[in-house]
Order: sequence, then structure tokens, then C-alpha cells
Amino acid sequence: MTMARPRVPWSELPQDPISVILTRLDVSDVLNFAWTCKSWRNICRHLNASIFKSGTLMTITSKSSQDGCLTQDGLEDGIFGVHEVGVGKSFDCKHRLLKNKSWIGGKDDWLVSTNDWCYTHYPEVWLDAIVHQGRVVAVNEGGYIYAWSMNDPEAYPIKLTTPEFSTTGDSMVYYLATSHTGRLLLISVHGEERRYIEPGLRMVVSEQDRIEQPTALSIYIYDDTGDAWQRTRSVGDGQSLFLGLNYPFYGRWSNIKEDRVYIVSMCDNDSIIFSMDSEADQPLDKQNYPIKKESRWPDGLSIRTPMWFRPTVPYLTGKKPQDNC
Amino acid sequence: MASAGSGDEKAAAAAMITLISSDNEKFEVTEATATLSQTIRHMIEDGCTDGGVPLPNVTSKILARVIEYCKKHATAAAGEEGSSSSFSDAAFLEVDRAFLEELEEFDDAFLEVDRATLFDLILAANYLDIKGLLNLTCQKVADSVKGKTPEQIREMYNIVNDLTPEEEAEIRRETQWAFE
Repeated sequence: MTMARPRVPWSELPQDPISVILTRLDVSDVLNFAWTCKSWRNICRHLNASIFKSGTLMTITSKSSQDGCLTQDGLEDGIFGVHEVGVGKSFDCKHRLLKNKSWIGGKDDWLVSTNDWCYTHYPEVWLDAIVHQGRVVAVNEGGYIYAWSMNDPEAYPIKLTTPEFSTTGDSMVYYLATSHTGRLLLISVHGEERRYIEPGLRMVVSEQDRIEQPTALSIYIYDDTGDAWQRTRSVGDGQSLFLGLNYPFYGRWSNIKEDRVYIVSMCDNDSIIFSMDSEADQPLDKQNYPIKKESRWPDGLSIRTPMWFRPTVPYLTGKKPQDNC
Repeated sequence: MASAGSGDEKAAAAAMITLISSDNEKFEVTEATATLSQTIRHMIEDGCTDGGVPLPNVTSKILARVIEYCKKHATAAAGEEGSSSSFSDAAFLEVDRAFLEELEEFDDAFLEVDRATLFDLILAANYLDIKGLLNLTCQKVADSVKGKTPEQIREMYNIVNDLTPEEEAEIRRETQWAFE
């Protein structure tokens, strides 16, 4: 006679062992684990379990393969890569809304996605635009800065003065940001002009890619009352400044050195780091995920531009999400 | 002073503790083995181990396995203390490394159990507060769920999906980033 084996109530596993298990899982496994049954889900929520901690500094890219190269694999399944900057931890995520899609920009954890695989260069371009004190401020390729009132979008823009750039002769590109004290910043990056555009390293050829190799970076801070710019050598407040695809932002992370400027997706690099403390303001370091040859344009159209990503995590934080969305 | 201290340690190592399983089986173990369990360590410190330590949550089958683990690892702990204080020459480190490898092999073999036993070992490690054993057994569970879908995890661990469709929809919404 065989006895029926007693069913082991795994769903009643206590909280302590579950917390030990969760610390050994990466984010997608934590989420799968939490989706198994009510009890495990409640414990995961209670433990705040996720490595997607709100505000973690990350870049998102195409999926990375076993050998660390970015690849087009998984594009049709909506798979993409997430990399924790500073920690060097990478993993793949999947989202149905990113099936066969790329992103062209975003803010915080919002993405603007597209399935239009464009490599277009426009004849005249705005290099960057931000919203600053109720105005849309934009800088064009000549370094000219214009501000539009958001209350009166029909009105002609006001032209601001342009800083006296300390370096000339190089090719230059610009970014805009707001300083931690609320003032307008213009960041100029100098470099050798790109002779030709190598096709398809990234899905979006950002206009900042017009320089081949960055040689220096300068920050100018705007004085509203005098309509004048002043060079500054500090990002300020012990923080670092993050520019490129995604809205400019400041941050302080334990694993990131202060007073640096990080620019994502520039000159065929996933990110370039500039130091502010040296006289030369030269690029310090690069972060790069190599790209598989077959994934490059024109054969592949799928290497998506790296973008800053700072998740805000409603899940596993104990907060109940809004039901009206 | 030093000689008096080591004398006490010898006395402590030789002291025996009786553990009593839920089905009333008695196990004689050294104090060094028993105190890998923080729970038992506290009982000893409180002086309430005379006449044996009843463990109503642990069956004799599981207790035997837990003791087997503790014996092996108590020896390891003693070895580590020795190496840090008085031995540092290469020969000793070599022995040390060999022992660690042996310990790893022991752990691997120890984990070759069915899921029901694994579950009981986790509960026992948790109840007895044996950190190493809890880490070891939970690692096995973690390894088994890596890359698995919720449905595969349920199947593997005989878990009934008791989430309502509303809750599933909520999870879907909350976890947009990682799921399709």
C-alpha cells in the first residue's frame, strides 16, 4: 500500500527564509516569485523586495548577450537590457509595449517609444531643449539659445546671449539643464568633427554625434537679470549631472564620484564621464557595451540608443497603486 | 589567564547537550555542535537545557540531518578560529583550503534531498536559527526558481494559484517594467 505523500505547504514558507531567497534572485526572478501566490506576494511586498529601488541610476539598452555584446535578439519579444551604473550589474527585462520598438527620449522612468527606425539627419537642428521657469529653452547647432513662453506659444521666442566659449575651432555641441539652484545651464562639449557618419551604431543618431571624440567640456551658468553667462567649474552640491537621452538630472549615488558630468549616448559611446575638478575638463572614462556586427545597420535595425533610466517603483514598496489608471 | 581560558574552552567543547525531537527521540551532541543554532545557544546561556532541549517543531528524521550539518560545520568553525589566531604558514593554509573544499562537497551532497525534506530543513534552520544552513537551503530554492515563470514555479512547488484575476491584473499593471 502506498501512502499519499503529504503535500508540502511551500506557500506557507515563513518570511525569513523568503527574504534569504529573494536576496539571491535578480529583479525579474523576484517578480516571478512574487507572482506565484498570495502569500509569497504579500511577503515580497512587505519586504520591499526588488532591486529596482526607486531612483537607482540605470541605463537601458538593447539586450546584452552572454558575451556582453548588445544584440538584436529578443527585439520582437520586447526584451531590452538594463544596467546599473556604478555597480556594473546588468540584466534583461521584457515589456510587451517594447516589442519591435525603440525609444527616442523620456523623463525619469517614462519612455517615448517608436517603431519608426529612423536614422535621419536634419539639415538644421535644435541640439537640446528643456523647460525652464515657465519657458521652453532650446539651443541650436550654432550655440544660439532661444526661449519661448509657455503661456503664449504663438509669440516669437526671445533670443538669449550666447556665452563666450573658451575654446573655438573645434566642433561643438550643446546641452541644456537647470542648476541645482534653479538657474539655466549650458553645457558645451568640444571635439573633433566627425568626417563621416558610420552607419547604424545606434538606432538614433543623436545630433551630438556630430563630434568624433570629445576633448573638453565646459559649463556656463546664466544670469537672468544681466542676460549674461558665466563659466562654472562645479556641478555643485556634491552631486553629478546626467545629460543625454532623458531629461537632464542631478544625482548623488554612493558609487558615483561627485562633481562629474555623465553624458549618455555620445560619440558612439554608451556613456562618457567628464570630471569637473581638473583644469582640462577632459573626458575621464567611457562605458561601452560592444555591439554585434550583425546587429548593425543596414543588416540590423535594432540597437537602441542607451538612455538614462531612473525607475520609480510602485511595486513591492507597500504602496497600493492608483486604481484609476 | 590564557591557560585558564583554554581550559574552559576544552570543558565547553566536551559538554554534551541532549536534543529531543518532536517524536521524542534523543540526540546527544557536543555544545560546540549545538551552539551553531542561535536558538539553542540562547537556551544554554539562560541555563535551561538541563534534562534536554525539547524541539517540538523538528522531527527526528530532520533533526538527524540538521545535527549532521552542524557537526561538520562546527569542526570548520573551530578550524577557522585556530587558523586566524596562531597558524598562518602556507602548509596550514593548504590544509585549510582542502578542508573548505571538502566542506563544499559536503554541502553539495547534503542538498541532495527531495523537495519535502528541503522544506523541512528550511523550517528547522529557521526555527533553530542556523544561519549557514538557512543560507544553504534557501540558495537551493533560489537556484531552482531562476528563469522560471510563475506557472513553472507553482508546478515545481505544488503551489495553488490563489491570486484573483483582479490581483493578477494589478500585478500586471505594477510590474509593467519586467513583464509582458
